[in-house]
Amino acid sequence: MISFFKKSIVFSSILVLLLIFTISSIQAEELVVGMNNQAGDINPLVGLNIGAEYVDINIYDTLVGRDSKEAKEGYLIEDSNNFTPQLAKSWKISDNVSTYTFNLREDVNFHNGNKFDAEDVKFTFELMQKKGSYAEYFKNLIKEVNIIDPYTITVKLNRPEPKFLKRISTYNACILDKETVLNKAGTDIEEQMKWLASNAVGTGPYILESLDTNSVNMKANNDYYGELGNIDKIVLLTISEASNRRIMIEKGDIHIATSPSQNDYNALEKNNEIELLVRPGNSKVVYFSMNLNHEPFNEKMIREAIAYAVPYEAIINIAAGGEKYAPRAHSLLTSELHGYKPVFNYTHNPEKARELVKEAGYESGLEIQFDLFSAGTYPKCAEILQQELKNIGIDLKIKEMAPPAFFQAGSAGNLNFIINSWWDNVADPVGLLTDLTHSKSIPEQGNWAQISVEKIDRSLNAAQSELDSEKRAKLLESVQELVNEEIGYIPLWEAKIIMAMRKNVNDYVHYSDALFRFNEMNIE
Amino acid sequence: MNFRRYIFKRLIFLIFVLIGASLLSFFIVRVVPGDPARMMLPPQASPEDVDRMRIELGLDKPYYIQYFNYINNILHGDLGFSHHTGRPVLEEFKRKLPASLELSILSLLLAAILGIWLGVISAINKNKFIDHFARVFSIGGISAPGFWIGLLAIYFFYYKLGWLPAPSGRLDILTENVNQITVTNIYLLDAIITGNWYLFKNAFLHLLLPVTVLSYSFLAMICRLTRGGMLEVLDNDYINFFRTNGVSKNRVIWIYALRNAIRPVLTMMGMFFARLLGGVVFIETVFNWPGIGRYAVDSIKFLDYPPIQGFIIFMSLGYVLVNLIVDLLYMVLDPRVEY
Repeated sequence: MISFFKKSIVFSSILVLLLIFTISSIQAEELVVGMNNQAGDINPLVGLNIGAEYVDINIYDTLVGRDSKEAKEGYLIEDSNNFTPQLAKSWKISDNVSTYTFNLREDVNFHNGNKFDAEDVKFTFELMQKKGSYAEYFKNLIKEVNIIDPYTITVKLNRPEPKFLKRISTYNACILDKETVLNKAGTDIEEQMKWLASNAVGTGPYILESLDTNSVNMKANNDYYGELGNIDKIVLLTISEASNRRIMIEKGDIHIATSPSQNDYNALEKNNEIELLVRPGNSKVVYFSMNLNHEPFNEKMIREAIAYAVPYEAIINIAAGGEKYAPRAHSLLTSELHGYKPVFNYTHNPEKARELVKEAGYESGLEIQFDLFSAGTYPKCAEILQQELKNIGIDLKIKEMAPPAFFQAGSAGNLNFIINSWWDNVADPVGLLTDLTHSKSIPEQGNWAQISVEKIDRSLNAAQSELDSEKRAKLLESVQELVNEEIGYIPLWEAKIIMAMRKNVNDYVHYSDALFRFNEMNIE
Repeated sequence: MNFRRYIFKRLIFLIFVLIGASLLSFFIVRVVPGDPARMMLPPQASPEDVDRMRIELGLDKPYYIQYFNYINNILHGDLGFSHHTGRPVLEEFKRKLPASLELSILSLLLAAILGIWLGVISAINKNKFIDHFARVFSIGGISAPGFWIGLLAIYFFYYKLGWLPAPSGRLDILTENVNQITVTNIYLLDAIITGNWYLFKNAFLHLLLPVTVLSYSFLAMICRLTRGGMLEVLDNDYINFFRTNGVSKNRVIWIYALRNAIRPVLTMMGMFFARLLGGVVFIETVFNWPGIGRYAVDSIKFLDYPPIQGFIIFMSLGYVLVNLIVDLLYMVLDPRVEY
């Protein structure tokens, strides 16, 4: 019997050796992205994961695309003032910026052969108004959509909106095939949403081949009317472990690794075949936020004491890898946004913080609850803060919360003291500040600090419909100053988009929605 | 008790277990803090959107109506819709269960063969080098975290030596769409059925590391249990009786002694299998394995009720059936056992 086992082991070993062969490396025209998340529901009207957005923006087209330019650092970046024709070959904006007329291309087919025309645009815009995660934005904005002729369409807005082209140049406004959606899912909106969650028929440069929770395969649409690079096949692979993403890009099994671990930055930078890209984040700032309606944060001196107690440099170094990858934030807006003003300039000053706590009447110390959303390096930040606050007589009780509980408490206005980040999906500073500081956003839509200042509301309302870019910037600057006076938020760092890319991948343009437009990219 | 009546009784019992599991899973997900409708939407979604989503998910109705609808749907073969993946739960189970099944069966098989063999060898070589070696080996398997061993294995066998493929899941990254060529979705089996040796080689190489790492901790426990059982049995008079009557040593050890020592091991293996079926999240995460365990954990993160409920019911079913099979195997191994 023992010899039987010995034989089995020898036989198995031979079998394994026979099967092991040189593992084929990736072909030049195939691009593999190792993502830290999964695609999941790919309905463009939902946009739950960035993985799904990568799929949408490449399978569907929008009416207009985003233009690019060279940044002063030498890499390609979005030119936020210009747009390129996509399904619309030209467009006209009325003087009051509330009517947009689009002349559509006449030579476009969907991937299944259906002809594209104005009916598809009307169907999509009407669906956007009815339902979906960002539907409210379009619902409140779009008044009516009129078909002038099969290839001309007019969109009338309820108010002037200079950002409309930007809003419709990303995944939320991907143009759907009316005929296919109606054929496959009927007229019931719930069924349509379910069908769109795992199916996609677009006019875009890539065709969806397969979709699973850990991988998405797309192939080039050779009949695409627009520009198409040399990448024939795209694989989006979910690789949850950052260490696996690192070794796979080093071995050349993947071309792009999103969100590398902070511990791997150095090694990736030293690798001659890989470039570690550090690009502007999608308007995202990481901040501490205090609920102004809760004790003791209703006391301004306590908020100020905490602003002095935060060890900004230590937090950025330990939790985000240092200033190079996470520059310190001086506002709720990131420095590249229009209207940015570096208003928040508190420095680490424990003595001053201690004095303020005493002055506020808490000489014997006080206890504060910190509601910790356990994600990424947030727990590290909370621990550092806990240590620092102890030195000024504040006992920080950290209460860990799972994401569902955290968001529920946030929406109910019950969070006390948190670390969080916020972003706007088209990097619109007005939208971002409205979410975080307008009284109408208390508490469901992001103003969890519960800042309610009439002047802030007025300035934001005015900025939303202000067409003059200088005046708009002035309004935003005043909002930032007013918010800074409240000290409801303590901005920590500007979150950058960091990814590792093999050097044989060329022509990557970093757009503010942080989505890859694979048809613009090439592989050597 | 009559054999058939016993099985019938156990299957009746299964119905009660499933009702219990459905009740438990239904209420357990609802007492967890958090609003699933809120989780389904990005942070910027308006309160109106959240309310609309709540109605769409049926969460605006009283609990008893929600439960009744849920059971009614299950009886019609509908486990609900998984919102975070955008597919029906049943369809997701059909995709992911074969991946988990393939991994579990092979891991258990490997753990059983090597564990029992090592356990027996240790017992017959008590306190000798091989016994000490097996002990150290087993302690390593029980105490070292699986994800750590998994990462180390990937580092050496994929990154350093280049012997094995990237941890990209069940197949190479750029394998052509296999959905069209598979029958059962258990790739090794499909490869054999269709005679597709490329698929076999590809799937086999991807299975090697996760199966080995996963089986290691189970192997260690099986080895210790077998050794203990064997030492007890080998002291019995009937073993000496066989030996003195000229029955070969190998036959006595591997047939007569092992048969009596293996019952606790069998029980343990039943438990292992049920656990493995539910997926082992660490191994699925480290090796990017699209199994049912990771799906369940992701569903919890998104507070996606239907897959969590479906998973709990499926696991209960799995546990009960595996236990039934183990009980029946007792009868095969020991004719004195009656139910």
